[in-house]
Amino acid sequence: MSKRSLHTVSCLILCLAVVSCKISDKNVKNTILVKGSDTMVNLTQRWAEQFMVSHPDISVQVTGGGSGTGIASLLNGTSNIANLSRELKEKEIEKAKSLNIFPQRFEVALDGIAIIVNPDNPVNSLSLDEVKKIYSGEINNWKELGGTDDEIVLYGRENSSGTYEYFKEAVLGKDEKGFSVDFSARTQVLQGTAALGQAVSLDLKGIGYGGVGYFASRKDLKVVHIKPENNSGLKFSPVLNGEVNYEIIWNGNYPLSRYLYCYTNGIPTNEIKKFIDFIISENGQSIVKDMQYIPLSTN
Amino acid sequence: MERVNDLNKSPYAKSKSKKTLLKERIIKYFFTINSLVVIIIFTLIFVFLLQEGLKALDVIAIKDFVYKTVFENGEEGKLYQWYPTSEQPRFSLIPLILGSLLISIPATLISTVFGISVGIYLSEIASIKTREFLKPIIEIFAGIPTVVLGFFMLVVVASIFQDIFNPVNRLNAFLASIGLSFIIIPIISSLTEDAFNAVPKEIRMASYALGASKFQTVFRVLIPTAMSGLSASIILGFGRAIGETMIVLMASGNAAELSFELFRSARTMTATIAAELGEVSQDSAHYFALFFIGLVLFVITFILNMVAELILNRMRNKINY
Amino acid sequence: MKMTDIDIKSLIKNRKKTDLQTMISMFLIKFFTYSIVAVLFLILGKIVYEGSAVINRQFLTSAPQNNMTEGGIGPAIFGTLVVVFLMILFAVPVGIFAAIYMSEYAKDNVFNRILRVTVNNLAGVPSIVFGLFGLGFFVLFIGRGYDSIFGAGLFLGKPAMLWASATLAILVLPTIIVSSIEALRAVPRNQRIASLGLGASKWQTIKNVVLPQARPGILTGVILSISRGAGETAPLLFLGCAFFLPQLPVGYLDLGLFSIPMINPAEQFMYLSYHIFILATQSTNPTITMPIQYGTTMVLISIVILLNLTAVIFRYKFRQTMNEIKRV
Repeated sequence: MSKRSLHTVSCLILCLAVVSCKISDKNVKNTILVKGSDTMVNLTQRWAEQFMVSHPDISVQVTGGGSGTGIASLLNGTSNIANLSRELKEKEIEKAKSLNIFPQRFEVALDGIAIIVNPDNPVNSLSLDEVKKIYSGEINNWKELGGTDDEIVLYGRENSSGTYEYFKEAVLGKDEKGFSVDFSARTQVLQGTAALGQAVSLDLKGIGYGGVGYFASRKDLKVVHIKPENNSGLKFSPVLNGEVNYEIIWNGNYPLSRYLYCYTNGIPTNEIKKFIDFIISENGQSIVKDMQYIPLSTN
Repeated sequence: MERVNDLNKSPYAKSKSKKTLLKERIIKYFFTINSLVVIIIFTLIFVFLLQEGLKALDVIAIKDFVYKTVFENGEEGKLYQWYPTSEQPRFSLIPLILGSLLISIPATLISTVFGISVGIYLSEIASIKTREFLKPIIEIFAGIPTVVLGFFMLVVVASIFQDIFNPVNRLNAFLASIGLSFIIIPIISSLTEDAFNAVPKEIRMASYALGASKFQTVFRVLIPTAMSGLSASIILGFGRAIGETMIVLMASGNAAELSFELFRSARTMTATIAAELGEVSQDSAHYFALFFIGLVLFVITFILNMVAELILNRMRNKINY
Repeated sequence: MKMTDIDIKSLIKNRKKTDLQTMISMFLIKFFTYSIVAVLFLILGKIVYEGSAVINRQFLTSAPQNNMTEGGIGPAIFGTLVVVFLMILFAVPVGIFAAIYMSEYAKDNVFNRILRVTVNNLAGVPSIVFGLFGLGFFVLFIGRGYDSIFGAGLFLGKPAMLWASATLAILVLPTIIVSSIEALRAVPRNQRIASLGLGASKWQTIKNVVLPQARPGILTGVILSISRGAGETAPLLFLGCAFFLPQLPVGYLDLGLFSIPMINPAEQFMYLSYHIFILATQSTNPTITMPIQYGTTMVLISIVILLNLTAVIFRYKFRQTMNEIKRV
């Protein structure tokens, strides 16, 4: 007898559970779904935590997956805010138009891309051209860059990440025929910036790239100085004494920096507006600083 | 007479009415339908993969899944590369298939040695007590979630490996092979044990009676007799190795390079799907190409399973005979 | 000819002991076996050693905080429980009913042979392919289809617990079927004959004689499938696992006077195994999150091992009872 009643109860629970999804929309607190760039996922999570403290009636759910996922989910309606670490592409804008969706862009923070090597690697500075040659596979040995006689081990991100695309565009650029250059096939693809940092910190021959915020305070990684192309002998590092060097990124001297964006569908209203406002507010930007990203320049 | 009366009191003793027969038939159909569900699901998976995977052929020529022809300075060259998101996309599956093989073949070889040893030990050498103790332990091995093994390979074993072998790439095909063999050893060992247990006791006794040593009995008599079972277990283990995802995703380094070196990183078909499917935009060539990889994986494992099945069937018939 | 049972072991003991070939090969076999066991204990030992340092009640119940560097894994445990529970609801009835058909009703014909081969093949399909299927079929085909037909906006056409558990259900179906068949077959044939002979119908025999005895064996399969489902990661990568979801996916069923909290299966979820994956690859700083990582791993491993051990014990007891019955 007890078993039969157990069955009945469990069936009932399932039925009610299914029913409840219909009802929940009305009764549950407002939910904001944020999806997109892995670079921004930690930052957004922190924003969400703080935001929910002051707005207990709103729930913010954050998932990563890459900028491409973010915009795709905004277009098919699975998220309210898309985190992108790059601007929309032509194709994506066209697709949005055809779906009657009007992505609205908000600059929420800045990010510098740092090139990292192992601390024991003698190479301290690289020019952008050298980085390009390293990642396109033209330079294979640290010896050519003044390092030890070892093969360069390339670490990179999967092809959907915004960092991948930004790096490809900003560093690899185009070849003579006007096609954008691809990463060398030897590039190892790791699933996140954390895994990448870990790998380079343990690999003498490794080189990697990623948001400067991830690497600035780490002693087990070395951020490489970047030499601009004009041979002026200047070199810039996005890191100063274990902290992100904001000035150099705001004034544009460091060549590898980008805005991070939140995209919403149309002009945001209600809880989404509140969240975006919070992000741009002083509180929100101080979180950006805490998280080792670059806050928006105040002037 | 008395006894019959007793029987009649049994709740079952009512003569089966038409109603009962109908009920019985309905119940039988109900169970049949449930088992049909299994076939339907399997067919659905196949048809679905086929449909989505073949859509890839509308946008990507089947030749492009093998190589892309390029003209460099008037010379024709073939590119075996996987660059699905490039401006000039290349969809060659060769580096991925090669990566899958480069990782799963060594894994299968390692597991064969260890798995068959464990199988022999459990069925021929260990006392009943040891067996009762060891079998659950091996089963626990089989139950360790693959993500845990992947994490362990990535964090702990990779560093140990680096110190010992100083490989070209810290995360490499061989590391992934070792990780994979942890899950294949239990598969091979349990099937090996079954195969040995299926060998009639008389054969062993005949061998010993002829004066054969234990070594001779195991290696000259039992292994040849159980050969089909052993090969089936190796094939099944290989199939599992090809299809495993998390360990290779985390430990192999995922460079889609055309390489035959064990100590370089490699990328498998499964890891490619895992890393790229979540982020790909739907209905793009890349999306369908990933389904095509899924289809290839499905077909490969299906064939391996069928071969193992046939071998096992033949073995059963032989032993029954 | 009936052979007398001779104890082979004692025969071997009486052989001359100086057989070098045997000694070396047996040593190697023993060595390989115990090195595997040793490796297993090393792995478990490392995880338990590192993991037990962080596990306490708060770790098990609270949500991750401060970028996963603090806090616990409460939502991940909750998500795992819910998804596995739904998976069981989907998979167990179909699995057991199919097993009953295959062991009790099916004759040795083509259909049954195809069925058996299908089950074996389903067990061999790579888990990532189930993920492809789950995303393409459940989420995009069924979910989106439902949404557009009923105009539900975006309700089921997104990765969610419901689809994750449905996909896992397919994944564990062969496990349940195979162990259930084994359990049903273990019930001695003469008991069925006796029951039928007493005038019971086939269904009555199955319901009152076969199933009650096979129950512990069937339960073994269910437990194994739970452990398999809880440990699986690959298919869930695209089926709604969330990086961070501090709120439990719970909705409230409003009944006017009071509201009942209800699990909402159309929501995303956190999952233990996926949590391990993202902690290893996407956390801010793996060195800082390492203790939490080991803690999570230890929780998952403990769940899986406890389930597997229970299954082993159940099966052991089941086999013993069956052997006793057969002897009687």
